[in-house]
Amino acid sequence: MTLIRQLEVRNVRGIGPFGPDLNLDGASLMLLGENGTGKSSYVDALEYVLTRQSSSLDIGKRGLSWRQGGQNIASKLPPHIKLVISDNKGGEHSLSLSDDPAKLTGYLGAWIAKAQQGGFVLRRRTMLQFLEADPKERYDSLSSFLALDAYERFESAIKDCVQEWQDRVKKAQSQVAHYTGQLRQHLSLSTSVSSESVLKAFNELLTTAGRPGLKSLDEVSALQTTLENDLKKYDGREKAVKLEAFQNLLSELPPIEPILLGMQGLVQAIEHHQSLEQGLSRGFSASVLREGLTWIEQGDLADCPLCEHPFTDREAVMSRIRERLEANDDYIRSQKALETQRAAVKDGLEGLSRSLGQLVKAWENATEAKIPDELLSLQIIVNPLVSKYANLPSRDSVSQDLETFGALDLGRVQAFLRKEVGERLNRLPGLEGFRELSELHRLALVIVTNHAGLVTSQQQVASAQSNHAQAEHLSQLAMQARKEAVQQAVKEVATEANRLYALIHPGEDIGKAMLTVAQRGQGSLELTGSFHGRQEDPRLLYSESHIDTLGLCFFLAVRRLNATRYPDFKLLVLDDVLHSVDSAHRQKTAEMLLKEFNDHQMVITTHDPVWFQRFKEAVGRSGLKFQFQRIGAWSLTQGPQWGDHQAEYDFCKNNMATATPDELAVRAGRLMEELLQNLCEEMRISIPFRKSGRYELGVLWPPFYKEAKNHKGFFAKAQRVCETIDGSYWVRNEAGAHFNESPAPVQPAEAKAFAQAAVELTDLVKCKTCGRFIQVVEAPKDNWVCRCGCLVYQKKIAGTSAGT
Amino acid sequence: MSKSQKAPLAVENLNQAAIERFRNLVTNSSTLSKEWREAILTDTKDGIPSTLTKTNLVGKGEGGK
Repeated sequence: MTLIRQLEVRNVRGIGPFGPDLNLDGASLMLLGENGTGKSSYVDALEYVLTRQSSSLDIGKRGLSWRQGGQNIASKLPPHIKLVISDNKGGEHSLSLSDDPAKLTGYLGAWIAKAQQGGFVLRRRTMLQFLEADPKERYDSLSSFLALDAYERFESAIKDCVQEWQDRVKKAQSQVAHYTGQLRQHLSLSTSVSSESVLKAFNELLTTAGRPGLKSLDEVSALQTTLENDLKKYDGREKAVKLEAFQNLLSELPPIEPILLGMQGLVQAIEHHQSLEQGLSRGFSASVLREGLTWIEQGDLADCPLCEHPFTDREAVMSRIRERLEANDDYIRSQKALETQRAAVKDGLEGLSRSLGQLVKAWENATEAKIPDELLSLQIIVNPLVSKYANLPSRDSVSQDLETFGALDLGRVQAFLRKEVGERLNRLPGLEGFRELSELHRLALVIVTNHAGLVTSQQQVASAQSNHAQAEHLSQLAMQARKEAVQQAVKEVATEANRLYALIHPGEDIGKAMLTVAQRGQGSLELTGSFHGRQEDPRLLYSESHIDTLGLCFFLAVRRLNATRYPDFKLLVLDDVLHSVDSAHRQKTAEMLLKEFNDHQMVITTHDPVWFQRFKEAVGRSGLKFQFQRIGAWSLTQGPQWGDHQAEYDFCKNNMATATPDELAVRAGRLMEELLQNLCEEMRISIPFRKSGRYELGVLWPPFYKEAKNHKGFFAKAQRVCETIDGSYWVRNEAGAHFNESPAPVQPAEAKAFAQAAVELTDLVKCKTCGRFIQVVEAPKDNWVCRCGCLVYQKKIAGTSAGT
Repeated sequence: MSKSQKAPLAVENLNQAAIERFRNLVTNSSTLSKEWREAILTDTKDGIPSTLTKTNLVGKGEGGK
């Protein structure tokens, strides 16, 4: 199993330039310290060196990031973190902030890759996130655990397919609208456009001209050839043909309705796209990310154009931006739809512009008159829009064009031009019959061209709609399959969480949490729990401590299942998580952790000395390899300092003659506080409860002194020392340990007497052989002995002792 | 660790579990056309239908019509 041997931390959060380091040597750790003494900084450092993310800082909120808050504010030096681990064969590997985890290979690389999936650190502030998240966020929070990346890519391909068919439906519908518009306009159809209505309208015109009607539209093409041959018989035909050519072109002028529809669609697409863009929850919008990526790729920049901080790894930044861009699938799909819509409008405008250009040329060819203003003004409006829609205009700009275009009366312009050309044709001699034939010929041409196009486009619409429905159904099946698979997985999570919960709350009619994947929507996860037979949102009925432990159990369930999936990564970090839980349930939690996660290396922090002690006792019974470390003091410049009575003992003993009175009094005071906390815990001596958890000498000494005086065997040996301390421990406060302005400075003799007594008391209560403090034993009843039996103080032997 | 932790878990290969459920749903779907269903069920690579790329699916749709 991979184990952490050492964590070296400098200049990180509350930890200053001197550490201290965590020398775990493969053991688990419980770290005790008051609030604000740097416990969580070790958790931050461990998490960051492994994942390059901080779950306490990198939470997507403005002004919060590791970059801004990771460094110790009193230090000018950059953060330094070095982690040493040992592999299952005993080999050692190290990892520091200068290493790029993505480039690590081999054993360490594989282990780090598991760490990077997260889910091994739980903090008090994140403990309830899973319970309090809305169902969509809850689902998303499990995404790295579910590891459905391959399947989600597969789903995304289906969604792309759905979008493609939807685009094709729209394109074919636009073609249908074009051909329908042409036929309706030229044949003056008031009914819906169909083969029947077109045939009927054309036959009426043929009958009026004294020609037989057609049986089907298939005959129009042959009729058109006949009419063309008939037209060749008329004089002045050359001039008439040119005028007729203009008329034909005028008839084929594309209607503006498809362009208007396209512009309306484009406005909607822009609005939809903008709403998606605004909905992107984290950091920069995709367009800014894309722009930033382009700058980074093209430029030789020293600083990131997005966050203005110097690059530490340009490739990693670019890779991260690309990942975030790829993550916005819906956004990208919407962008593609937007582009399709824009291109459709541009194509329509290009067609209209081209036709207008041809009309102008045909006018010049057929007449010697100046080009009519009506025609020119259309060109002036349309031509600039072709280049404008080469790129995506703003929503407001499209709306404005929609208004301008909607106001155009193309029919009126066509009628005017038709009249102009008609009058010119009328003035040509002997061409009355020609005009009639010419009109029939023109309409035949319109029908041949547009009806065939209409039939083909209608078939394309039907085909695209059918395929779109198939793809849409496929997408629904893919989503359903994912939800069913996820439901099975989250059921396992809930089952495991319930099992762990029952170990903390045995016999209580509460628990039975259920996770249910909602059938509606892309993915959301409902959470309920049972409370005396009622199944509700746990927050509705559970107490605060029951909610806390439920949050803990869900986290642990995911950790356990992840450990089963990746057995080589078994690290569990709990940062001061049992805040509102009573002592009995803490005890159960300790037992549960030691039983269920004994295959993990654990790092547990707490500010509660009672829980620390109870956990220590539980570990003692379990035989697990655990370290217990107490943070005794903290300062901005020095960072945490271990509560180490041995260091204070050595200082007092070795510097009795040379230390200043204040220093001696303070160091002896710390020695006494550490000593008495251990003694009161080991000997079950009651001390007054302090809500702050801070136990000073003035609180600890009187109960111990009272107990010592009642223990005749101990007091016989320790009376002089105890009386000295009782008469001199005031120097601890006078020496400024608690920021008091002293009216009477501590004298050298007073400080020395206090320090000497503290050293002597240490020798009386801590065994030099086994290194343990004396503790109360059951038999012989109430004797005070150390573990190895070298120190023994007998309760019932008055005035004597077998001590030492 | 307790015994229950050693049981096989769905989470161990959720991708594969989801794919298998998807294939079952496709097999039993009466809404999907024969062309689409066969294209998805027969053309696989590494357990994932290789037709499930946009280009291939669009192609299948065109062929089916």
